[in-house]
Amino acid sequence: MKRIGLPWSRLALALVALLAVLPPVAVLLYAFSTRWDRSLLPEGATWAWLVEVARTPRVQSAVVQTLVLSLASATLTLLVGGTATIVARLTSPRVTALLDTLSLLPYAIPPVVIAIGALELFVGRWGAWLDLRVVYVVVAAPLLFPLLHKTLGAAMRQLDVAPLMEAAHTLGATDGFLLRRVLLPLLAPALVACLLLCWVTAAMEFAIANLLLGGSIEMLQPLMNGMRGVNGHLSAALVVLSFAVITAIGLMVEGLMAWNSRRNS
Amino acid sequence: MNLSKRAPWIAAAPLLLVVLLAVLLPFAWRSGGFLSDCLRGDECAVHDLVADGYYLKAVFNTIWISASSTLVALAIGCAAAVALAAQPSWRRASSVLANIGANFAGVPLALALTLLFGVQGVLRQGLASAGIALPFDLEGNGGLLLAYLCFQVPLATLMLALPVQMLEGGLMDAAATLGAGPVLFWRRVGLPLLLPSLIEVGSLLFANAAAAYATPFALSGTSANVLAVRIAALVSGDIFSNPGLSSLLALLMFALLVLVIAGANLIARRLRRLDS
Repeated sequence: MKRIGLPWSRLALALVALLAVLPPVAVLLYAFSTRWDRSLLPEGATWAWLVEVARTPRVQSAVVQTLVLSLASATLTLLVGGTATIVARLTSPRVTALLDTLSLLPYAIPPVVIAIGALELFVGRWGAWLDLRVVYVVVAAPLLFPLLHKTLGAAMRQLDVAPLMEAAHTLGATDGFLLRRVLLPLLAPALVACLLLCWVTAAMEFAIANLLLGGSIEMLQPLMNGMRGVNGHLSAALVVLSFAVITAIGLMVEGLMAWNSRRNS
Repeated sequence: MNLSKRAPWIAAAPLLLVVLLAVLLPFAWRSGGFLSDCLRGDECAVHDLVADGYYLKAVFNTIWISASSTLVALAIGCAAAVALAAQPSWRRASSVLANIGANFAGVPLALALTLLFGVQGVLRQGLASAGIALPFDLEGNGGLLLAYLCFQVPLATLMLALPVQMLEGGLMDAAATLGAGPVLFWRRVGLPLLLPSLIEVGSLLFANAAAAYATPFALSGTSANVLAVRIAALVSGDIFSNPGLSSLLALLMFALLVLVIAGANLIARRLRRLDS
């Protein structure tokens, strides 16, 4: 195998590591230093920015709003998307193909276009009858669906459901029974992982949060952007806090999926 | 209860309704508004698009930055995936790193790059004091390309890791036994077999770059002249509000992305059929 590897491939790997690591490390150093503008290295290690950002009421309320609204959107995605993906994968290749196409839709109609469309129609036209929070929750859900469809699809392929269904039918069990008593318990960790992934993705989304809610409900990402102009250290501290939570959730997702595949194999 | 033939459609109905309401209805409504304006002959946004080179430049910039960031990301990502296939023990750590890089976009990335390469950036100043001037300006196209590469390259590595790993094993041993060196193997066997995956991943990277809004907006505000920022600024901006032109640009972007994604899928499928 080593004989086939190209000599410069390790250089490329080093470049990937540099591009991936340099920006987060810069923000991390900035968040934990008193100042970083006089030399190549930051000066004066401090926790002060992190403490200040955690104590700011504006940040606290943005965090709560973001967590609640993104969880609502992730739950909606799990309910409608999860039902569609599971039943389609069990019974119909045609509907599965339709859902595969649907999961490409946010690539063709990007979040910024979705946000502007929603802003003009649901806020500009029908704003008097519609609650902005509900609009946000529904509008963000289709953006999360591809993530759920892919993750859940992989978990179901690993489970190899066709022989399970056959065995259940031979033993006289109905599809409903199989779904309730066998498949859903087996898929539970994957479903939790999907919910967490969608939650994190929705919480870190910028375009819809900024364009649709901007001005009325303050979300985490637009707040981070606004804070950059006032105090970069505080904004960096907020980025560090959010990425700490995201990394923790990411590790949970990975652990859940690994446990799921060990348990089901 | 046994699942009937209608069951998958009934189960998919709520999802289809959400997509219809949240995505397709506003998109169709805006596009319809633009088309009916043009058909009636009053204030068709096409005139604004053609009359002002600024918006055509945004279309060109978007294609340029998406295509160049995609090509560079594919080249680096593919080479990195080859290195990873040869070193299984590095895979886990690299995938964690690449995941962080791929997700560290938008506002956090703009903050980091301003800190490092902005007018007062520490790296820019440090290099300047050593007599080296950075050849790009963070708010220009060069800076935008650097920013896009920061998330496109890790993403390409993540998406290509699996297809490259699949080439591992017998095929490579066989080539080596027959006396093929690395260059010959990749030129005659590896790359042709990888080509469908490269095309598919490339189309998604292109779409990812073209759709990016947070990164250019956080880096240079509404002055970033790419489609995603123009589409938003033409509606949410107070001074240059022109919803018709915004709808036209969104339609152009949709056509471009559908062409790229569908075209890539079609070519990849043809190539796979030829291989098998």
